[in-house]
Amino acid sequence: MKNFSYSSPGNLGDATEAAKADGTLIIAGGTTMVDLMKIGVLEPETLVDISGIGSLESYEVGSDRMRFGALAKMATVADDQAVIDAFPALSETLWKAASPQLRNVATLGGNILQRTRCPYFRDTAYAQCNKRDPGSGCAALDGGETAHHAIFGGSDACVAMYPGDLAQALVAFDAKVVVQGPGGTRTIPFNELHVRPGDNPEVETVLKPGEIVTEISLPIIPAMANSIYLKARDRESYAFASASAAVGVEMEGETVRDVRVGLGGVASVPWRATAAEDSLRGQPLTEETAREAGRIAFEEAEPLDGSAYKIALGADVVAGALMTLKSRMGGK
Amino acid sequence: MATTLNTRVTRTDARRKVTGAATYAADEIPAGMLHGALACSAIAVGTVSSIDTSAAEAEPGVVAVFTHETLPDYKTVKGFYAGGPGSASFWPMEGTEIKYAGQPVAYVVAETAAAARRGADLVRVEYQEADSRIHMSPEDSFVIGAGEDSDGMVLTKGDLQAGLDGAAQSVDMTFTTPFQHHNPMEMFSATAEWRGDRLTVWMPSQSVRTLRAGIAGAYGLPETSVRVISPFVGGAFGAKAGITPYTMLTIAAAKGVGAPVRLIVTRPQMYTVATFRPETEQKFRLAADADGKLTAFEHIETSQTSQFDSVVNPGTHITRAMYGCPNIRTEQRLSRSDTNTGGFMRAPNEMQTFWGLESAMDELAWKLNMDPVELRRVNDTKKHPTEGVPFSSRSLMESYDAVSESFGWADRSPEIGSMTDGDWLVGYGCATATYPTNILASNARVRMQASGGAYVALAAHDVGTGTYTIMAQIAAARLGLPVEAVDVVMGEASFPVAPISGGSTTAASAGSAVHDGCLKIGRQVASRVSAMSDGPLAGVDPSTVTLEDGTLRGPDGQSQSLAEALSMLPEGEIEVIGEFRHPALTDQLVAATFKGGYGSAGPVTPEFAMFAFGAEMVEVHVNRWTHEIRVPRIHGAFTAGTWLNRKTSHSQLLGGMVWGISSALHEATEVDKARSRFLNANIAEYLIPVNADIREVRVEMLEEQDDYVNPLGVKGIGEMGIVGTAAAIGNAVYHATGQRFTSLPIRMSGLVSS
Repeated sequence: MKNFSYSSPGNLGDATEAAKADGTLIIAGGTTMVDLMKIGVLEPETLVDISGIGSLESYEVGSDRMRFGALAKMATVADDQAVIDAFPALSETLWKAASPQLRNVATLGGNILQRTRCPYFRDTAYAQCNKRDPGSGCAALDGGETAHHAIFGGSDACVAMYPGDLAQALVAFDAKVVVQGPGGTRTIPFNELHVRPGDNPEVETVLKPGEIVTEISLPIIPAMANSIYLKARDRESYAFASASAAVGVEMEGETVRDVRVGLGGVASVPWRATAAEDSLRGQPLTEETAREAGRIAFEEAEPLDGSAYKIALGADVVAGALMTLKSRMGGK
Repeated sequence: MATTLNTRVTRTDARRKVTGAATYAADEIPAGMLHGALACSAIAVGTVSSIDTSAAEAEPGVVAVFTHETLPDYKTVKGFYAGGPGSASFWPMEGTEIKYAGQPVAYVVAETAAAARRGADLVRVEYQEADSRIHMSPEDSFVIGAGEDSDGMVLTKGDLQAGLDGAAQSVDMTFTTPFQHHNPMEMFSATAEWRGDRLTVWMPSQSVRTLRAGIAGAYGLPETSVRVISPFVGGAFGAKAGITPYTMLTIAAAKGVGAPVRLIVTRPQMYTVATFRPETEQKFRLAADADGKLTAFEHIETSQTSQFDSVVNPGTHITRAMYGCPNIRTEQRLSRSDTNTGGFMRAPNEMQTFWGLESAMDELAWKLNMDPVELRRVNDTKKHPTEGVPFSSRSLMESYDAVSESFGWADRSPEIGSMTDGDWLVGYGCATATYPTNILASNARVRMQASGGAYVALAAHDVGTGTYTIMAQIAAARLGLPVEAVDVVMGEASFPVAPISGGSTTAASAGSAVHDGCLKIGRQVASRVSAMSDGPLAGVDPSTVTLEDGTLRGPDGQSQSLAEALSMLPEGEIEVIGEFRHPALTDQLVAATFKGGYGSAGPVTPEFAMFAFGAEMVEVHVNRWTHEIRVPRIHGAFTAGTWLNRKTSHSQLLGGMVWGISSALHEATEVDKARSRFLNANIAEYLIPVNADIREVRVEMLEEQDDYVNPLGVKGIGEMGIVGTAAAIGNAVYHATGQRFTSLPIRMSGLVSS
C-alpha cells in the first residue's frame, strides 16, 4: 500500500474543504476502499475520514419521507423495526449484502458508492482496464471472462457491473441524495447519481471534487409496505447477486395500481425496469403477468458470452419476487 | 481397547489455540528479523526483458531488492514428480524465463512488512510476452509412461468390448472438474535465520523432514546443521507438503542481507507460488446386465499438468477398486498447459474421480430403473476387482445401510421432480466414499516416568487434525495414564522419523510407532523387574508378561502397575524408540521415508487391498424462481477400522463433507483464458460455503475390525469425507430437476437455461 496522509475533520465544512484537493478520497466505513488500497487499485495521497461526523449517523422514518444520514450503519438500519415495517425491501437489501462484520462498519453513503467487483479492475496485473487506467482498454471485452459483467448499461469501453444491493431499492422507489460540497448543498435524484460508463468509465458518479453525500431520503409510498428484495446468489450469504430484484406492489382491488422494480447483478449502474413496471400497472397480478414482466425487464439486455444466463435468471427472479409478494398479500 | 481410545476426547491444545497461546511457525520472531515480499509476474509465458528496482530501493525501509541477477547463493531442489522434494521442477528467478502467471520475479527485503510489500509493488518489470494456454486440452493429451514402465497407468482386465456388447444398459459420460486451491486459513510463510553455516527455518509444513533433507542437500550441509520447525499448522490440505520457491528464496534472501527474514505470502500470491488441484476430465463407460451386475467398466482420467512436470495423481487406481466387474479398462492421461505445477489437494486421487464414477453409477441406476443403493449392493465385492487380492476389510454396504436408516432413504419418492417443499424442488442423492489405507514406516520416542508422566516425540505434524491429541491418547491407553499426563512434541525435523502428513497416514503409521514404543517399555520394564529379587513380578519369565492399560501381568495372575515397577528402577524412568514397520513395507520404501520421501505401501499389498469405506446421502432443494441450490441435510456413514478419537474423527469427516458441498456447489478457481491468469485469487470471490450454507450434517462412525492394516487396526480418515459428496449432490439435483450436471461446480447459471 502506498503511504498516504490522513485527516479526520470534526465537521462537514472542514471535510468538504479538505476533500476537494486532487488525490484526495473520502473514507467512511472503508470496507471497499481499504481493500482497493491494499491491492494497489486506489493510491490516494490523502484520506479524509468523515466517520467522526456524528451528525450524519442519524436516520428517521417519518410520515411522508424516510431519511438516512450517510453514516448510518448498514447493520443498524437493516435491524430497525420501523424500517422493516415501512419498507421491508430496503432492510432486506442491507441484510443480504456483505457479511455481519462488514455491515457493522459499512455506511449507507459508502454502500451506494461502492466500486465494481470486476476482476480486471481489481487485479493491477491486467494492463487493460479503462476504469482503472483510462485508455488502456477492457480485458473483459478482449477475450475475458464475462459471467459477472453487466448486461445493461455497458459500453465498448467498460462492462463492469455495479455490485450493490441497497441501490436497487433506492432507484426503484425514487430516492434522492443530498450532497454537500465546497459550493454548498444540492439534492440529486438517485437515478442521476451514477453515470453509465460510456467513453469515460473512470467517471462513476456526478459528484464533484469535495462533494460528500450527507443524506439519502425516500418518499413513503404504498408500494413500499409490500416490498421484497429477492437475491439469487451462489451461496447463502456473503456473495454478490447473480441477479436480484427489489420489488414493491400496490394493489387496487384485483389490479396492480403501482409497482416498482429495481434490478441488481445485471447492470453497470443501479437499474430500474420501468418497462416491466408499465406492463403490470392496471393488470391483475398472476403468474402469467409476473413472468411477462420478468421477460420484458430483460428484453433490451445486451449479454456477453458469459453473462447470457442472467436474462433467464433475472426474469425468473423478477417473477418470483412478484409472486412472493402476491402470496404474502394472501393471494389478493 | 482402553478407555482413552474410541471415545470423544477434546483436543489437548484446544484452549491454547482458541486463546492464541499456541505458537505457529510465523509467530517466531528471531532477533533482528527483516521482512520479505514477493513481486510476481503479470504475464503467463515469456521472458523478463528488464527489471527496474530503483523505485523499490528508494522506498523508505527497503533494505534490498533481489532479482534473478542479484540474488546470491540461491539454491533449488528437484521437483516431487521428478523424484525430489520440491513442489515443482521449474524454479523462478534462476533466469529470465516466465512459465506461469504470478511467478516470482523479485524478492524485496525491508524493515517492515508494509515497506516490503510496497517495495514489491514498485518493482517495474518489462516482459516479452509469448502465447499461452491455461486450460488443459483432452485432444492434446498423452498416456503417462507409455511404452516404458506403465506402473498401472493403463490397465486392461477381461474383454471390455464384450462386456459393453452384451449389456442390458450402459452409460458413456464425460465429467470435468475445475482448478481448485487449498486456501488454508494460515498463510504460507517461511522464516530463515543463518548463523554461520547453521540454518533454522520456521515454516508451516506437512513434512519437516522433507524440508530439512532438501534444504541441507541443496546447500551441501549436513542435516544436523539445518533445523526445521513447524509446531502448529493452520491447515495444509496438501499445500504445505513440498519445498516451494518462496522457502528457498527466503533462505537465500536471509543469506543475502545477513539477517533473519520472514516472508508471509499474500493470499493472491498463494494461488500461484505453490500447488493446486489440477483441472480434470473423467470419461466413464459403464455397462450392466438386467440385474445391475456390471459387465464393463472403463475409466479414462485426463488431468492438467504444467509444461515442466508430470503430475501423477492416479485416480483410476482407486475407482477400479470399487465395484466387481469382469471387464475393466482404465487409463491415466495428462495434458500440459501454462501453469505452475499442481499437486495434492485433499483426496487428490479421489474427489474428482468419484464425482465422475458415482454420477455415472447413478445414471446407470436410473437407466436400469433400480434403486442406486441396490446397484452398489449387487456390485459390492470382497476381492479387489483387478488385483485379485481380498480386501483386508470392506464395509461399504454396512455404511450404506446405516446411512439409509439415519437419512430415511426409504421415504424417497423415486420419480424426478416428485418431491417439493413450497417453492423448492426436493431431491435425494447418494454416493460411495472411499480412501486407500496408505502405510509408511515411522519411529517415535516414548519416555515414561515413575511419577506417572510420559513424553512422546516424533517428527510428525498436527495439520489441524488433532494429531497431538491422538498420539497422547494412544500412549495413555497403553501406559495406563490420563491423556493429560502425556506430553507430545512434534513438528521438528530432528525428532524421530515420522512420515509426511499426507495420504491420511499419520494416525495409523505414526500412531502405530507410539503404540510399539509403549509395548517396548512394558517388555523392558518387565525384563528388569522380573530379574529383581523382590516385587510381584520377581522371577517371572519376562516374555510371558503383558502390558494392559498400564499394568504388567504375569501368566499366573501376578501384576504390578507400570509406574510402580518403574519406581523400582534406579533411573525412575525409561525411554525407548517405538518402531512401525508393516510387513508390506519393502526396504526401499523404508529407506525412502527415512530420506524424507513418501515410502508408502498400500493400498494393495501382495496379501490384501486396504481401503476405508463410506456412504453419503444428501437432500438438496432447488428454488423454482432463483434456481439457488441448497443442501438442508447431508448424512454420511463411514467404516475405517478402529476409531482413535470419536471427536476429532467426527470433525475430520464432517469437515470433509462440508468441503464436498463446496466442491459441488461453490468452489472453482476461475481463469482468464486470454491471458492465462487466475481471476478470483481471494477468498471473497473464490466461493466456499459460509455457515448459512451448512445445515444438518450427520456423521455415523461404524465399528470395524481390521487386524492386517496395523497393530492399532486404524485406517486413515482425514480425506474420506470429501470423496462422495459432490456426486451425491449432483445425483440429488438430478432427482429434483431432471438435469444431469457433468461439470463442477453446479451453479444456478447452469440450471436456468434448461
